[in-house]
Amino acid sequence: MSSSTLYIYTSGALFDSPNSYMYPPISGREFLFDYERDRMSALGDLLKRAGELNLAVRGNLAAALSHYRGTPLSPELQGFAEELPIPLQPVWIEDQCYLNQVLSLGEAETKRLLAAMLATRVQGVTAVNMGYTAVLRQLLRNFEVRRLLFQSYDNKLRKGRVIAKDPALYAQLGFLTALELDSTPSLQITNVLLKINDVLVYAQSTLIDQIDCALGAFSIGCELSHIRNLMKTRGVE
Amino acid sequence: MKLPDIGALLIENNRSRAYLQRMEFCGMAPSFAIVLQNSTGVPTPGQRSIDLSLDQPTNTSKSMNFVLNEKEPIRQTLERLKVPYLLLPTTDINSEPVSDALKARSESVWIYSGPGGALVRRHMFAIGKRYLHIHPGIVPNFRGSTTIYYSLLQEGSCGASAIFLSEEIDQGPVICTKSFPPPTDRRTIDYLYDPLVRSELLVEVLLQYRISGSFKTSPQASEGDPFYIMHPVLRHICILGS
Repeated sequence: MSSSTLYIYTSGALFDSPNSYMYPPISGREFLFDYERDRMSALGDLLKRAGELNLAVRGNLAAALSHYRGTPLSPELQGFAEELPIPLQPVWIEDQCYLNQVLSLGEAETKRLLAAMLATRVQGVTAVNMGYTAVLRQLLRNFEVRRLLFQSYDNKLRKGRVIAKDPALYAQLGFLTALELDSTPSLQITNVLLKINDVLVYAQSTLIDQIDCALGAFSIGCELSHIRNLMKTRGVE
Repeated sequence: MKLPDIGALLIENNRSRAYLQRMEFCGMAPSFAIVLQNSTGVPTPGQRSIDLSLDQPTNTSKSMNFVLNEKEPIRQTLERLKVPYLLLPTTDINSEPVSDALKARSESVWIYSGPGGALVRRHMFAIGKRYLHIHPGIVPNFRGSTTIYYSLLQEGSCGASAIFLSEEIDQGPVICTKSFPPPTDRRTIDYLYDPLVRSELLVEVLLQYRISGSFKTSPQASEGDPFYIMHPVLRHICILGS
């Protein structure tokens, strides 16, 4: 929950009344200061909990993330990732086949779908799982329309059933979106990541799994990095 | 001069005012208008509370020697132009009263200026009318929502496209497109700059129609992801940036 006065998009009952983002008030530079404060506060919380909950398994997230991406992280993200105290374990590999089955299933369970997408990222997006990008893009389109995730979707990922209130799902989708943004920067991906992270920040206090905390932290850190770069290039200091 | 086969589907906001007043400025008027009335007391997207008030302050803005009078209710403009109109107590563009009203009219082309963010649903196309829409972005690269901001943030320029609506968002046939210089004050985009540039392109299209008697269109390329409503952080960067 945000304590900012101008950045209002992480407060309120977002699972009941998602942000519409239509015709927002324009508040000047102070709004962006409040946005950064709001995100930094959530980032600090997530990093702290990620460390506290898994003290025995410290490692290097940067290496894991580089492995996921297939290429090294940018120096800025590398530095950020090294602050994270835990490794990302490829615990989702067993679910990888699920992604390739999704389009033939009658209904896709979001928890398993995201797990399969994370597993696919671990092994790299190849011709074998070329549906990955299409599935991610469709999930993001759906998120843009509804501003929320659902517990399950139809086999075309167009209609969702039952609003998902588990912050872990938002952390995982945010992480996947952040990787997408990092590899293929665009305003469209930046836009949806901001909205995913609004929900994540709103609900992050109930996020308990250390890996999900790390994923969420990466999602927010990556967003902040891109937004700061955009502000710099557009002359907003 | 009334355009014989052209109707206007309007709601009380600056876009509708700019459309009507700019048409009047250029010596044109629709032959009929359907006006959606917001009686809820809550502005629809694109409306300000001032649009629901009878006691509006005077405010004018200029574009190409055209002066937009923000104070004038659209009914007043319609009456001055002697355009017959129908008031409907709904803001739902897809509602039965709207479709019934359209079915009862002979005009085949309707200038579209409904509530912001509303999508025209499939059954409204089955009526057999065409909806002339001025989209605030150059298609096919800038389809979807708030594209005036995306275009400005991504390319430093703005544009608009005259299209006929189709069931797929902003993918209908294109009449023409036009680029515009960026606004000098980006805080005015939503309520002044956007209506002014859209109305400028609208009258260009209608003047051409008045000469030729038809709309010449071309299909759009289908590729390209649409843009969704811009997050306030990006919107602030766009407005505060250069």
